[in-house]
Amino acid sequence: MINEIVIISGKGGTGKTSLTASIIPYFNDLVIADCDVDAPDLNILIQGDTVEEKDFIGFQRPIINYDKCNYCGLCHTSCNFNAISEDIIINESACEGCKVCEYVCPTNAITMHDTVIGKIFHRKTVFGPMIDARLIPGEESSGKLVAEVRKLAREVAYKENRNTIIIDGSPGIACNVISAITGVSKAIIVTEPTISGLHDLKKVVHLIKMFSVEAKVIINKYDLSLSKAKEIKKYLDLMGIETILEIPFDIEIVNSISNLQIPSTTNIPFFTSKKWFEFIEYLRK
Amino acid sequence: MKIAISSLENNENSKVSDRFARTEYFVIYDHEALSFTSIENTAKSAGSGAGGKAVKILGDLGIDIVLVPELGPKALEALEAFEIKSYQYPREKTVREVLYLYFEKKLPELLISTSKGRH
Amino acid sequence: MKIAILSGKGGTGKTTLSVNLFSYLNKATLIDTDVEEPNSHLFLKGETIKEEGVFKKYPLVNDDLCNYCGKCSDFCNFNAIIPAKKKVLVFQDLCHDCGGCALVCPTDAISYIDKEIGKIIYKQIDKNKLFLYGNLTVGEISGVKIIETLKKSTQNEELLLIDSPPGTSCSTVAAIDGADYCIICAEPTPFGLSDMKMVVELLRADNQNFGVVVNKSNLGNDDIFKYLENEKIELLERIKFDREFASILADGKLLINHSEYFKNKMANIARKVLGDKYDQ
Repeated sequence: MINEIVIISGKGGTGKTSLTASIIPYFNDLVIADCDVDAPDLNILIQGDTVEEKDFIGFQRPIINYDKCNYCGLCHTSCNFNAISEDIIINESACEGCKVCEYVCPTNAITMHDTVIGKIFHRKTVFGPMIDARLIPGEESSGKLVAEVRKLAREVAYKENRNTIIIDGSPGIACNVISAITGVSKAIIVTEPTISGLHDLKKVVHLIKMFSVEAKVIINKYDLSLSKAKEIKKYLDLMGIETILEIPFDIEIVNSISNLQIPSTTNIPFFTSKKWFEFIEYLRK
Repeated sequence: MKIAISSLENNENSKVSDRFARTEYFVIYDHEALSFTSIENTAKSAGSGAGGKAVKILGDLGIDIVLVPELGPKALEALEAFEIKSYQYPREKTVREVLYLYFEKKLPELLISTSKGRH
Repeated sequence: MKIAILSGKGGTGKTTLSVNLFSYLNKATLIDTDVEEPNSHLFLKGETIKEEGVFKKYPLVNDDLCNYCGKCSDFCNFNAIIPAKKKVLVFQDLCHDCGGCALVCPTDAISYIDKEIGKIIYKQIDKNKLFLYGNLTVGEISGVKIIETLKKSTQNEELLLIDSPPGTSCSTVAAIDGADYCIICAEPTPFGLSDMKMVVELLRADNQNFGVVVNKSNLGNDDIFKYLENEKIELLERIKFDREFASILADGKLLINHSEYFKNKMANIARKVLGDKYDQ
């Protein structure tokens, strides 16, 4: 069975992608899936070569044939998403592709057409194949795009007999995150010792419990507020979730990313610690 | 009696799938005709609600029993509504093997959810 | 005047900027539209004056009228309604509330009932300051409806600050819709720059006026400043990273009350974007 590991964080900017990148060099039978389709940054560090690039069709959207339209306004009044204005102009970013407008149009002026909502990339990296995607800014249905990235990563894993998939998830708790965590073997939640970090962690933990996923937590930059870090640990104890790592703030981590180096491959002391290697062992199991 | 098995390919010697709603194929065994057929699972590409859709496809075909790796809560609810019984098979077997296991009454029936669904 | 504060990448300091700028101004309304993970309320102390639910509708099937024809299921793009043998299944969380199933039903068996998907909380911070935030219920798929309700409830405010969700998805578009000016909060790392470019792409496609605040400006490298110069994008302010700031923020305190440096930065941003009308 494939070992699928997802790295998520309720709050953005906690160091999720830097951590994901830091784990990758320790696996040799890996497929990498960057599911943070709003902010796909993993490849900035991993620097894979693009093997294939293709459009992803998320759903169908209406197109109006104005020669046939008699401006009766039925599509406008029937649309529950306010995606068609009074003067019969479609607001694409509001449309959810339900096709009610096509159905109600008395003159058959509306037809549904495939809509590209993002791009999917197959890349070759020194650590193994990688699938990532980019949502077109302003598009919806990032959940679908995430599901597609995971599906492709699984296909590659089956085909090439690779036993581990590492998934860089997205922040938040909506459909894109739900798509990223369903059916994984392990979830690693990255948080930070701030009032926002704790607040968002609670929501993610709630989500994880709903989906019965095995989860452990990393407190990144824990020494920026020892008291908050302690509060987070206390909360996690109460929830029966292990704090598997506490990573100190180190300006060298930021610097390594600025130099496009994976933090764990530079000589930052933390990444030679026993705790770090125990964590990698846990992921491998 | 018709039994559907989620599988990676379209014949009885294929490996079973580790997913139900988004499996590639369903191999269908007809116990009266003693024959195997298969269908491609069109629910697999659904943006959301693949579980319910897959069950509807099977329900419309008059399936009585499904053999599955796991089920989401929606698929299970739908199976119950279509009066289709579900049994869980172990991974890494072939369609034929899990069918034998079923007739030997070695597969547990699924009554509560074993996994959660995706959107 | 509506000012949206946004960031491609999470954790750049968008909420810090929003709550401190809001607190600096003498009169303003702030809405936190990051309904998946709202944080502004953690920094703003005030009395809750109102709470209202946000609802979406989902179909209810009258079994006596239904003839199990399956037309609703064929129409539904989201697989939210499926007629089985003796009942019609409705999966509430898959339903997008488009109204299609009732439209196609030949026997008028479908009506709609409300389901709460989240809440909007109103807080009075002081007599000139109103603050609203939305909170999406865990497990719900989309917060756009809550964002739209937040915007509607505050459409006539004289000065509205909008703390937007991170990223460039549909929620962000809903949050910045109708804004007069957008402030991007970015950080000078390769990730920060890449994510900011996606926001710039979004704002340019939307013909929005915008400027950039570079937070943690002493970390990372210079690429972001070069990019802003080449693209002729206004750099509103640079704010340094300071361990001291991190520990003040960790406790949920407002930086303007603890740092003259930070307060001056807010004053500069306010003057550049709003003139001096709203100065403290």
